[in-house]
Amino acid sequence: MADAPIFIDPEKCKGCTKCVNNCPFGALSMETRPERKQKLAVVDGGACRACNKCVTSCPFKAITMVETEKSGVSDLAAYKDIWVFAEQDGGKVLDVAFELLATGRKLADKRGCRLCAALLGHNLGDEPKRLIAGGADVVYVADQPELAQYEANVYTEALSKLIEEHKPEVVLAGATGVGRAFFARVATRCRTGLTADCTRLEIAPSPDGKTMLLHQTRPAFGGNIMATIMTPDHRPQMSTVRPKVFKKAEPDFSRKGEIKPEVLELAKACTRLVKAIRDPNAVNIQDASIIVAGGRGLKKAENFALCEKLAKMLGGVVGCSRACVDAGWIDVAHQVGQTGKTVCPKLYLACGISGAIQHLEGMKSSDTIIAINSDPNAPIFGVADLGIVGDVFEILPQLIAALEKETAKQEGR
Amino acid sequence: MHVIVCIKQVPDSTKISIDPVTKTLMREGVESILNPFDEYALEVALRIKDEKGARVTVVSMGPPQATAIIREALARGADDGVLLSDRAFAGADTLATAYALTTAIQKINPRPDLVLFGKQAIDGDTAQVGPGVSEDLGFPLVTYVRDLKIADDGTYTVETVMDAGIDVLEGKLPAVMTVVKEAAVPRFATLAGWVRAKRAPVTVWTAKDTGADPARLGLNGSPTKVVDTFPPPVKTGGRVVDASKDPAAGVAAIVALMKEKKLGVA
Amino acid sequence: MGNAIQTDILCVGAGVASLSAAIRILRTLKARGAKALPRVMVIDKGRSVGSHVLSGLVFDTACLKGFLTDEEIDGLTSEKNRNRPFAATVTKEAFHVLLDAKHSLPVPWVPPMMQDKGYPVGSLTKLTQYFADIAEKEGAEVYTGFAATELIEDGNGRVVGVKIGDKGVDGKGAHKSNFTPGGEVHAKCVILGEGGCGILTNRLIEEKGLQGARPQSYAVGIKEIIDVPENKERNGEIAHTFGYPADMATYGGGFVYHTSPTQVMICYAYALDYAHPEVDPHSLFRLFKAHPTLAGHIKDGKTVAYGAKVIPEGGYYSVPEVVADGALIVGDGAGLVDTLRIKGAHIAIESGVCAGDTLADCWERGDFSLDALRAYGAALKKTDGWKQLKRVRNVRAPFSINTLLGVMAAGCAWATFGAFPFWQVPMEGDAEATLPLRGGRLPEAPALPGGPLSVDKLTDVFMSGTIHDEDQPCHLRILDPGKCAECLKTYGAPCLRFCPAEVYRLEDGRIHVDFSNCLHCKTCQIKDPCHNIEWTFPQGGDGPRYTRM
Repeated sequence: MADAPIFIDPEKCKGCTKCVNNCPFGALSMETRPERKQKLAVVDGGACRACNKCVTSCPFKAITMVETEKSGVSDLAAYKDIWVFAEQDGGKVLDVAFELLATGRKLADKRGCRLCAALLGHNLGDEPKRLIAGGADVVYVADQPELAQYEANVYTEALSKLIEEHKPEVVLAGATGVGRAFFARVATRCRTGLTADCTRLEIAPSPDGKTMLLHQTRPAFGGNIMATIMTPDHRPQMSTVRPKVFKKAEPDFSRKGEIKPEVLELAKACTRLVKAIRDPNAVNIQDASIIVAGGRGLKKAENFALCEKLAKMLGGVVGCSRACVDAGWIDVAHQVGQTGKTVCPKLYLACGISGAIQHLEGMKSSDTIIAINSDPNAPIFGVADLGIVGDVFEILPQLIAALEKETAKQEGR
Repeated sequence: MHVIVCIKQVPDSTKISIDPVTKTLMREGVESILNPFDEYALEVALRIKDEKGARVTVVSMGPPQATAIIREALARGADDGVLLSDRAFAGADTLATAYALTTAIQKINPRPDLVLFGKQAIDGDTAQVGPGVSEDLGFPLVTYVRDLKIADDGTYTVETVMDAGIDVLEGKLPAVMTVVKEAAVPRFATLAGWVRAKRAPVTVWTAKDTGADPARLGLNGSPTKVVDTFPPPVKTGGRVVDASKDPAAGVAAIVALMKEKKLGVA
Repeated sequence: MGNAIQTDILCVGAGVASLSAAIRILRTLKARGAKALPRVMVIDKGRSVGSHVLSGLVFDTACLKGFLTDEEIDGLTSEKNRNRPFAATVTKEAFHVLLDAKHSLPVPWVPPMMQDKGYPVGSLTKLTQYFADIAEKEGAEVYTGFAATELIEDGNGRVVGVKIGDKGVDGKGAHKSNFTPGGEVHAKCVILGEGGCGILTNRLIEEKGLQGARPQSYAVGIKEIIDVPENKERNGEIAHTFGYPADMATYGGGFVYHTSPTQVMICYAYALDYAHPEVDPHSLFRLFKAHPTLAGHIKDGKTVAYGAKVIPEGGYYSVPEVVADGALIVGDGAGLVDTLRIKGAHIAIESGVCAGDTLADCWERGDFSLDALRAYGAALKKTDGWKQLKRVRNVRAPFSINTLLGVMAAGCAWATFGAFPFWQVPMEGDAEATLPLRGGRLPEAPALPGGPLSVDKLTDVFMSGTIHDEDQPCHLRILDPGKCAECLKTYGAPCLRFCPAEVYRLEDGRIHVDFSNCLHCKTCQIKDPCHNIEWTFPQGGDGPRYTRM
């Protein structure tokens, strides 16, 4: 049995089993000991994830985290402001940065500090102004040729230097391919904590009540459990957030803000980009934010055209259940489910999919699920936010027409 | 040439679920497996070994049972393996994990040519340890590698999978790389491989063995603290509209919901 | 092949029978102070040890005395063992005859031959893992994920090893980038412990004419594990049933075991010599679970695991000659199941122990000849398990005529120590027992109960954890697709129903095989009336992933 990150004081443990029942990982159990009347809680170090749940749930304060000395930075107060790393591609700041600014604005207001954006790139034009319109009070801009293209090692150095110089209290980045790669390296260089893929961020009191901390909530174990994480003794507190988790605000170009140009001395890049291959037709249903999926209820291959049309209108991609792949209606790259891909789009529109568990497992964590099926007892309705009992061949064309009308209205406005 | 692959034992999370009554993770019957992404990293390493005769060493950190994945790697063709197992490592977040792995790598070989990681582990999904080790080792970082070609002079060409498409990069070893699924279909261990691996010694190191600074390990060395865990909001069936006789009503309901949630329509 | 792996003893199938043999050989030789120990290898097609085994399991521990140490026997049930196979002991037992969907007749006393009080009850998967741990500690090598697909014989017809299945072959039979040839393992003796309806075992039996007096007959057992709200009082409670939803001419029965305060195992076994091709054993299982006698046991529960496997229940007369030149057959593969109690694990262990004793002697004398191996057959006949088998030798057959006759015969058999019915009651093969559709068409399927516990087949399949690489040759071969149309006409394609994993689907008048659903139960190989389905081995490591069956 591995040693565990928690310590159970046998003097204080009264054998009440509260910790056993509260442990999300089944790491605790009760054991009979010859030397004592009550059972004693014991921990399986291999299973314990140091989640703190038992510590807070023990009525006798018998459980403590094994911690001998505190590391961290001594001058916590020197760190101020909330930062957003404003990722850009080809000189255009990505949406995710604006989504983070919108959330960062609320956090900064709560904390009573400034919201700043850090922008790395070259030939950035008016992008700093857009960041201010998106909610930033200050924009640090390093506009130099070495930063035109993302390169993990140069970007690490650039952002680390800015952090070192300005000492932000919080730094947020989008959990994009770029953000997830070099941001972790930045956190390591700063010797601080980083929490990936947060789905909720809040400024709230620290557990000891002495200060305000960033409470970072993220799914763990494939979304089967949520964890709230803090970085109490290190700065900055760093998190990444997936695109589309937060909503961006309407830009307000009347906002006032300060643009601070930075000139960074940077080492040479370690890798050189020789080619960028961009295939506009590549299907990647796992990254799609909208999926229109068809199932056996579509009856034949030609009917997938309806799904394709709708998907195209919505800027999404087509998914399908296994039956359709088996029947040869569509390529396996589109298959969602246990033997296909697991997806988590903003919208999953299931057309003529009954929803065998094998399919549901692959899509049930989608943000919004709409299902159209003729069988009112189809299991898909058990996970759908909105279920439509009806004939897909009637509803889909009407839906396409209705959405076309909506779009026309938008454009006409 | 020496390639070090960092691997992790993870619960087969596809089979974990939350007990609806006690709201805790149901672990019974959940197997521990080699993190699938690490299988791709290992395969990339083994192909380098096949082509260039490189030595492949696997490193993992975990409880003593994690020797199982070291053996699995040996069975597939890795040359040797080290497991870091010590209470001092317990409760480590990604920063402390990266540090611990770095100390082990440096002890195995202060100057390996290539250190490989799977792009992320399926239990934590953070994708942070690989970049962290690149920093601690002071090696250049290349992420999301799907194709790697190494020339005899140590220069390499990689295809990396970015959000917008594929970037082809050139560089020179040493490097830390994280590997995606598309990189290689993992080989199977042969029975003969397993027979070898079963009897092969697996080195187990404690924190002392690696000479790591105890303050940077385990809970002590972890800036992030988990303060609470709770079950995610459970998705239950929502509204059902019977549009079997009135398709228009169904369409209206869909459009209304999409508008409300700002999905596809403004 | 020059690079075959050489071992002394090779066990095919890492079940309790094989593992007992492995443990016994090594322990016996160590106890005798043998100078050198044989190399003992155990291979299994499942991904991990126990992932393809399924049983009740109310375990008769008598067979362990003198085989395992007291400490090891304690470990089976000890709270200290976090992964103990048995978390409960039978505290209360009942026996019901289910008359119809609503009514049942509790048998006021449990027939003495079926009493289980005091026996531990739990998981065969975990028991198997427990045995594997002991075997490895003794020095045996256990390798999972490797299917032995063929027996290798020398020029004299002696079994000298097995061929291991290749991996990395695509659906069309071409090599994929990760193609890995399986190779061969050669041994002085091969122990076949493949379980019920073992493919290599049956091939050997046929080829060498080892068949017993009657062909083997089978039942398919369909099982779910259900998590229920905590109820400490019921822990260890068990009930066996007989009758409904089986018709009067078919042997069918079930059980429900409370294996922990929060876990119930429920199983229904249905004899495969049933006559009517419209029957769907999985539907019967759903009807069974909804019967008022059972429903209370699983109330407010949630199905968390599922599995199916065939049980050889031909009994005494169907046991083949268990020794061939170079090979011994142990456990369920030899049909060593007490048909009345539907218990086989203890006899399987006894058979493994006998095989182990024999091979220890062979090793010491350096003689693995057929004559030397025959000692195993003789030893097996001296075991308690064999005596039980003999005592109930005629219990099973009368059931194939009529249930009531069977019940009476069972009583008489027990009273006369197995002498009655004095003659060997003949039985038909399972597939041959299938009658053409009445009136030439399928009757309407019975209405199935609703509710969260009436789980449909595909959902159950999901719970089994079964998974197969989709890009490999279909391991369920339809030998002559042309025959399917005829079968559909005459029998209504029974494969669509008898398969407890919905492997067979009818699409546009053709049978479509979803082999990746397969639970490796072998029902199709046994029950297809046209003998048109051949069960072959998928890639090693594929198949169900039972973790607590």
